[in-house]
Amino acid sequence: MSLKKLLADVLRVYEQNITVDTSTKTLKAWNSSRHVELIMAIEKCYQIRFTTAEIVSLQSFRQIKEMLIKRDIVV
Amino acid sequence: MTIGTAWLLPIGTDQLQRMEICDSVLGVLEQAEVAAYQTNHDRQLASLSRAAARIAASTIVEKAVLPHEWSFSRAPGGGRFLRAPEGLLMNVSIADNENFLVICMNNMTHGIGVDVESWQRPVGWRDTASRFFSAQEQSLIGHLSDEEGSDVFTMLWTGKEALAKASGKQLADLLELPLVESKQTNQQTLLLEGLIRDQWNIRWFDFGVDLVAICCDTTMSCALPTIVPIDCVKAINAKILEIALPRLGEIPSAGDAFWLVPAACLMANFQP
Repeated sequence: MSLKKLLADVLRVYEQNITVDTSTKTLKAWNSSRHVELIMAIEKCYQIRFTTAEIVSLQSFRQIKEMLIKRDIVV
Repeated sequence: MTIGTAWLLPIGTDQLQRMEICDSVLGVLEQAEVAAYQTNHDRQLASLSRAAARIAASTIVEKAVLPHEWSFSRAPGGGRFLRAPEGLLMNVSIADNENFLVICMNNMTHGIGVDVESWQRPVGWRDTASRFFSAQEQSLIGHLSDEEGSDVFTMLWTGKEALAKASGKQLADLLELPLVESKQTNQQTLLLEGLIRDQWNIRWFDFGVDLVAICCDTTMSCALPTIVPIDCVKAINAKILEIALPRLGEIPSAGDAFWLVPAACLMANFQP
């Protein structure tokens, strides 16, 4: 599953609403409870584990994508 | 003197479609925040919430301040402030979901926080609790049925979210802070008594499909609002209208602006 599709599914929005600029400040559906749900879904999908500091810092699609790339994950 | 108010507004399509009226009272920073949202619905709701906060603030100050006269700013951690022309500073916290918009504010130097969540069972709530919640909370939830456990999860989540907003901390840093004690064995206890953790007072308000948590600093003897019996709602709304409407005089289409006043103000203003 693509990262974009994963975000769309967890945030319950259309996939076209997810862009590189999508963030907690541009989408109300990306609230705190969905954020934790999203983090856990990403961890499960890509078999990784984020630290608390990382969970706090990952506030946009771009940041998540860059974090995954840093961990050599192809998204 | 400490002043504050808490408004709960049912969100309706009719309200959200009046965005141009909302925009007329917003400042530059608020307009930029509203514009950043990707969808019309989100922009409308963001505009409504910010305009309603200004009007709510205008209803509780002794010296008249028009809603558009407040100056909006944010703390580094994201906290919201409205400052009157003469300097009075109001802490503002806003929460919304698909049903309700909740606005809380006070003039303390310390914060106030609010969250609203649906009682509907959150996806993966047991996994979230076991990953992030304190051992005490996990133990409590672990002994409960799915239905009771998810309700307690929702209460703890809203409480932590409200606490995070009030304290200016990140929610992720507060998730492990236990909000239950050994004597608090069920959600009814939590719901009825509220909670004091350190200097923070957290109280929950059940609105049927949704749960609201409000957190306020207790070091300045600030009282939290209480739910007003439904019989009193009309009287309170009338009072709010009486105070608010004259202060909307300079807003374009002010005649239509009464819709911003809560259709059902379920919490009273508080002035300890």
